[in-house]
Amino acid sequence: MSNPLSDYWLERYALDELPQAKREEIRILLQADPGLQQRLRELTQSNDAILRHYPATAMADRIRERQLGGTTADRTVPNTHVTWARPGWMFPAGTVAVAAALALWIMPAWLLPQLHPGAGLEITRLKGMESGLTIYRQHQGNAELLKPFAFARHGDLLQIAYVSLTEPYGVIISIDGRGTATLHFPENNQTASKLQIKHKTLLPKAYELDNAPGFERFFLITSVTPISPLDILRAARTLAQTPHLAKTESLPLNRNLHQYSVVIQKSERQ
Amino acid sequence: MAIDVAAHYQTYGPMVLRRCRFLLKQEERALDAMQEVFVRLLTYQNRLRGDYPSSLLYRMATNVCLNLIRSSKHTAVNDSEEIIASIASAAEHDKPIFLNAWLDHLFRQEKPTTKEMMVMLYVDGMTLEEVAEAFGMSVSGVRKRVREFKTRVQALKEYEHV
Repeated sequence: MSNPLSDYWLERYALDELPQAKREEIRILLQADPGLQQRLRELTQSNDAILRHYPATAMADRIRERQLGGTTADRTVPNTHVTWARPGWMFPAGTVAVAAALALWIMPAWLLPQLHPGAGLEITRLKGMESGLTIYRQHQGNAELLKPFAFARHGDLLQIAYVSLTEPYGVIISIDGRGTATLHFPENNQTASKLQIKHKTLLPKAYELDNAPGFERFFLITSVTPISPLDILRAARTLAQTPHLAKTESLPLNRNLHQYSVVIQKSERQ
Repeated sequence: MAIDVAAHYQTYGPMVLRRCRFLLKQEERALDAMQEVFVRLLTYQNRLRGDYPSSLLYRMATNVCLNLIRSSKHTAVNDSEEIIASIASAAEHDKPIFLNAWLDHLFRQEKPTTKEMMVMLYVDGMTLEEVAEAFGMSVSGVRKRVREFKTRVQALKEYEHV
């Protein structure tokens, strides 16, 4: 037995998951060592604190969503950061093709409204691409991919990208912890909701996170037929008004519409 | 039988999160790693063996964190340095051979279980016997892994000094 007892054994002792001999060995140590008893007490207190702060129901939802949807959490590509393009060198003539060829697949749309006004910017075609949303944050001149349930804060500048493999119509909205629903695509609820398909496409405008508490959850709704942004907004407002469901439940929409979502958590640290 | 993720999290989540916090030193990344551990648990549940989920999950957490440290460009430098420093510090009771920054480079070439063993030995301060017990191996088997690992470290160290 090493001294002090490693966390590996103490954790397993606390969980009562040790062979009998080992358990007995640690029990005897505990009896003789007030420091070890204190560590065990702290461990129990830590359990309570963690489960209070990250409740099992919510975490199980996150884990399942991450496993099933995992819409943008690319666990196979370790580099989650890509270059945040600067207009001076990233966009000379013929730039979109060059960017695609180089697989530099993020550009700040607000710097380039002239390229595809209102339609977003096609970035690249990638094998293995799935329908869904990707959220980037501008961070120290780079575009940082925000995984589902990543933390962001008030004032962060987010860029939304979507992929729709087959369905040509879609709406992108978000709901937040204050119960507000925001339409991101199309630009207003009167315009067409035609998507670019089979491309990762950036929305033409970035989105600055406001000070709503808790979270911002982005939805991509896709369909084979045109969608009414107003209907989606209405459903989003309904869900947003139910705080305990807003982070986990689907929008109350027709089953013919496909939903993809990414939750970004709000960090209170500034 | 399918794993009840909420029940598993309720039981093992705090242990996994503590392990991730210890290795990653950052709450948000630890939370991310903890979720990844449970995603892997769900993904590979049909292949899981053993009577004690805690042992498996603890090791999975170690492995996920090591991969995160290695793969994250955003914060890898600082955190890798912290881990390497931890390993170096913990290794002082042994031979101080882990003082160089190429430990991470070296780790990339190792089997996941070897990396986990080295962390248990040199960061957690466990004995060869404890590590052997944790991995269900013989002490001589672990000793052999350590010996081979040290040989590779030493060879690399000498190569870099040439």
